[in-house]
Amino acid sequence: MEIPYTVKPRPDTGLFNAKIGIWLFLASEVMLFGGLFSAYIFLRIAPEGPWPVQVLTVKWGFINTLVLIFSSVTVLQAWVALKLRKFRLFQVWMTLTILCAGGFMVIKSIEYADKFHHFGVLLKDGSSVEGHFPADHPYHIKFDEVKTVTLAVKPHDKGLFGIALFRHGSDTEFLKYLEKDSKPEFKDAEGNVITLDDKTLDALRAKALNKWGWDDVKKKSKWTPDEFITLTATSPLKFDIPPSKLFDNAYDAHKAHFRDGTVIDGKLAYDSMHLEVDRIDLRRLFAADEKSDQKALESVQNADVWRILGGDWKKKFNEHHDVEHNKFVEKHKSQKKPQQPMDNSDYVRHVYAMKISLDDAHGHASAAKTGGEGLAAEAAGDSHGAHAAEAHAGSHGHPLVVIEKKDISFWSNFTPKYGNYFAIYFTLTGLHGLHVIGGALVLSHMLLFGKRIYDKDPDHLANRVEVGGLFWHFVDLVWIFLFPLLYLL
Amino acid sequence: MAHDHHDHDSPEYYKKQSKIIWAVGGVLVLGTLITVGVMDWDMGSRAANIAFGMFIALVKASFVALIFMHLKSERGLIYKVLFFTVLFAIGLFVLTYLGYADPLHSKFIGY
Repeated sequence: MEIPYTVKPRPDTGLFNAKIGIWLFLASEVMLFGGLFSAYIFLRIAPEGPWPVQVLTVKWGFINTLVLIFSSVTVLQAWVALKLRKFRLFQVWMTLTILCAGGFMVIKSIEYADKFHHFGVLLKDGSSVEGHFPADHPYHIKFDEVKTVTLAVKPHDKGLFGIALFRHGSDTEFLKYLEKDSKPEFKDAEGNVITLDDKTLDALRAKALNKWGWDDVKKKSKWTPDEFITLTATSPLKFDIPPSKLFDNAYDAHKAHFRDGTVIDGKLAYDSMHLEVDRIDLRRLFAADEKSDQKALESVQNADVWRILGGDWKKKFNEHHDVEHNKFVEKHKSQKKPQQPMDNSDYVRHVYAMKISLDDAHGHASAAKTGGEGLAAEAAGDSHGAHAAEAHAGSHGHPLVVIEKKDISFWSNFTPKYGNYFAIYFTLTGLHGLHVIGGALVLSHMLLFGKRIYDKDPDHLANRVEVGGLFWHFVDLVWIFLFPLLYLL
Repeated sequence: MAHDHHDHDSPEYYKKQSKIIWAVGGVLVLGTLITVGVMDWDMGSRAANIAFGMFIALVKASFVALIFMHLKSERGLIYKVLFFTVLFAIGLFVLTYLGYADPLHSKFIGY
């Protein structure tokens, strides 16, 4: 059946049908993004905490803006080429458009990767430090003298349509975090020595569940409680575990709980965090409506960050404050009613969320080396501590500090977990990225399979490209607002 | 591009459109440069910076909508669809903003 009005306009609307369709679709898209933009505004007006400062790299956002502008031009040039009956030229412009889409997504993935490896640590008093884990010292939790491992066995959850939401208890993933000199040899309840692997674990699991009637369990016709298998190590084991593999803070001096339900019993050997600090944020230490800069300054003098970073950084901060304060007063003194520093959010952000770098102040490196009176590394007194004490000038132009767990209130990488800013940032840019991918797929289809339609009726393909282009310009329009909102303001 | 259908078949018309498209692309690049260039200017208040940034974004968006998306000379039906889209979008923003009137105030307001 021939689809009507794909080339010629429909007499009553004056438009070919696909055009009405795409505009109705774009109208719904406006509402979709409109809802998220209004959510952004709402979160920005009443944030749950200090709004992050310039955590996105403007350079990448700027390049991506140019990429999208260029691609908007090229998709239109492709349409013009079709109207001029130059199919080869159409292919060139459309290829460029799709390459731009790919480039945009590559840059986006670089930005996302950067966020996944950038961390914020909220200290107990409300002050915070941000930075990266050193490449040679990722944040791991070490357990020694582990003698007992308890495996959780749960009946297989067949889930809905075969999709199980939860794992069915322990697997052997936790063995990945055994230190090299530890062997996974255990004694089971009967005293048999086993080397734990997928096969032996399956046998143990089946044995445990048989108690409840394995056939019934498989059919899910019978409720069975979780079972636990306790294994005793033939020799003490050592574990080196990334915290993401454990339940949040689900460890103490003697036990650690893995996410799959496995529990190890031993001795906590090390859980301090090494961080190359690139920013401190003191804005939680005074009320948002604090009018007195002097009072705000006083309230940050005993912040936990100084214990972590060392007294010389506090001195640097106070100097930084005085310089910025004087600059501000000088700049505004000619006003009839001079603005007060604390009434200017740029001032508050710039002064109290201070960048930390060794590069722009050479004194800082030596200051950090001698000033770390609170360095947990020294207190820890083990080999890791010694390592940190030697190297705490950091390797990327930022001071390396060691933070003990007792000082940490909350930590996360720059993902939605860290706060509303990153939640809305990832939602908006993620949804926009999906639109870029979707648009690129549609335009690729026109590029790869458009010749047949072109040969039949060039205007038919031109109309399709026009409709695809309208969607592409909408993607550009959304970015035009996202760029200043997220990167600049 | 524009939908004065009588000259749509003319190659000259599309050649001219091609030049206009490049020119608008240039305007968009210029707008982006201005936005980035003035972001650190002290305009007296944060609100002024935000207003200026949004104004430039609005100008850029207008060029995209009017020229690239053909809204400069489109059929009446599209304008009707867009009228209601804008109306409902404004309603959406107003409704969200009304939520602000609900005392959800944080002690951190003002950062």
